[in-house]
Amino acid sequence: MVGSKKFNFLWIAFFLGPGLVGFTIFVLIPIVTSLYISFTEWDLLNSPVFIGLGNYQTLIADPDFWMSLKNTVFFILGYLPSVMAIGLGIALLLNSKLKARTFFRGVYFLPVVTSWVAVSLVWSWLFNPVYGLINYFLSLVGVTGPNWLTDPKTAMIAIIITSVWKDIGFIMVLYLGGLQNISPSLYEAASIDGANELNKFWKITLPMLQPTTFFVVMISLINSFQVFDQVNVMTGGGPGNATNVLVQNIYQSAFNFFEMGYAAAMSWALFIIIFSVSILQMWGERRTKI
Amino acid sequence: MAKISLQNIAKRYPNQERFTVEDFNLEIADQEFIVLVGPSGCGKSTTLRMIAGLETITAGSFLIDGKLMNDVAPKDRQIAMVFQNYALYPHMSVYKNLSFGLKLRKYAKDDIDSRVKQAASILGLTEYLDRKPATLSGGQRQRVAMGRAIVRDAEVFLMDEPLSNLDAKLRESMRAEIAKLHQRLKSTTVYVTHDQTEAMTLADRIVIMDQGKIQQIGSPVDVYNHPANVFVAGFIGSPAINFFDVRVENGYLVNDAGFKLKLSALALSKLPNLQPSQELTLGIRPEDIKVSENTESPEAGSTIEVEITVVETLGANVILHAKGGENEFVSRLNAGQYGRPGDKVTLWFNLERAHFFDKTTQQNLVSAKASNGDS
Repeated sequence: MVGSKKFNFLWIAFFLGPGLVGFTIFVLIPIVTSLYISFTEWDLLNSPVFIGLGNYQTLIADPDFWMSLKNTVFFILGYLPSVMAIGLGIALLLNSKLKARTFFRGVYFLPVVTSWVAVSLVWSWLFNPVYGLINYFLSLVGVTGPNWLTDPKTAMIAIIITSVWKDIGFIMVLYLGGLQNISPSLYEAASIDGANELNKFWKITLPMLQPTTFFVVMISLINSFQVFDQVNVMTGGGPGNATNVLVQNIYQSAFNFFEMGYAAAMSWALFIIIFSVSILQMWGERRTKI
Repeated sequence: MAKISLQNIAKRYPNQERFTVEDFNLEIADQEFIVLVGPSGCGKSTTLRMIAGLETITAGSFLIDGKLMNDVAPKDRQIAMVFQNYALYPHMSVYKNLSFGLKLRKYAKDDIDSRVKQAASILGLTEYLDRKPATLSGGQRQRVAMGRAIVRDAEVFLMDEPLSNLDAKLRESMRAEIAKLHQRLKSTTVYVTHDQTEAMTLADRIVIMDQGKIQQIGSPVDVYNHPANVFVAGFIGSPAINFFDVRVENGYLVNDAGFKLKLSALALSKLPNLQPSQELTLGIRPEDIKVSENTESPEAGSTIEVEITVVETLGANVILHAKGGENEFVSRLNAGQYGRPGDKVTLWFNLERAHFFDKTTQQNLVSAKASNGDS
């Protein structure tokens, strides 16, 4: 048929169109625009002024940028191992023949579907040094709890605890899926081979979960570089700059100080960091495979 | 060396009314090759897994060399097992798969190395030692699974349908290899299969199970020639045995579907307690039904007129399906021309090799002893 190619094209355009329009307006144009803005000085009121790599030069010399990057890395170092270990631990528990395990799976997943703002408000209250439940429980065992969110030494720890609590369910679900993909006969073969439960965990479970672990690390790493909601609600980056993470810094530059160009430059720096870390991780993963 | 004793073994899973295995009694001699065979769900795998320690034993005693093993952990039972899906560790190389058990048992490094290499050479796996299971063919994986069992010199080998994932040709050659391996290693072996050919060719003794109960224990020749009941007769033998519901009338076996055969004197002599007009299930194997042109002057009353329905030519044999009245017959004949579907032929029945079962109890009316003469 002569017209069939054109006909097909129309249909393809018809089905792809809505998605493409959305993608263009809400993803592609902002990305390209933000790249352009990062080369300008712009306060939202006046027209942007092109300054070339000026923002990036400022960024490299800006101690605040490095401070917020350091805070972000500190957050990740505390958050990632904890959420993975606890998530895997609970997945292992809920994968066994526990009573009411379906119920518990649901319970542990609840925080994942709860809004970050709500969670942050509740935890702010829990961490309240005077009325909060956490210090109340600590006082029961004779410990005087710290001023969690207002003490620079403990504020980030409080953010980490909140984040771990909220994300355990997500990690748990991923690990549960991974665990259920492991054939029970492997464990049977191992127990005939002479393995005890610890051997089985280290020699069978963990290696068999490697693809899941890779996925978990990748997703969590990307997400935790972008940690923001809980910080913004619970501490606003304070006290001082104790919890001022990268995205909080970007947010402040853009919407408190109206330095849109500089904020865009920091966003691109964050993108490059996440991109590099992901590439590095994928490369490492490939090297350890078959 | 290991003798195994299973005494009144029973298995019932929680929340289940029926016993999966019941009243299982078996003494396995050292170096014996036992095959548990039966249809799926008959309890054969459960029995094997109880021997392995992968399932708890609900009741009864399980002994290896006189020692009670009911509550001993699998790793302390001196057993090795080959799983149906092989259960190879996917993240380990063939070498590591083979050495895993030895390492856990803290064998010396050189010892592990020499055992692994020896097993690999026996099984032709030497050049695959560095490969991961995913890169091996089905047959090679099967060998690795066997290798994992033999490196340890376990006293008892347990095999759970080890050949069922292979294609027909490979299955045949691996069957022969398992037989050779057993001759070489002489380990006491318990082998589970639903394939009667594997059972017949490998076993010293076959244990035929159905619905959790042992139906018969005996050598392959025994269970073929003297099936204890209708189930065994029907399960062992391919093509399957012919069954006819008949009753005895004036020295004849008859049914309302048009079946009529004279009971020969010899056949009668094996059935001393036969009542007049007793209802029987007659079992007669396909090779004991011949087309009468090929036999010399059949005795009167030992033949039935039939119409051929299907002719299957197998090279060395011809399987003839036929219908006479409402009765269906399957006969295995030597290669040759016997006619085409629709043709009428006369079938001759060798009733001296037939089996007579009580219609209600389904048990063979002739004890194995009494029928020894005709094997």
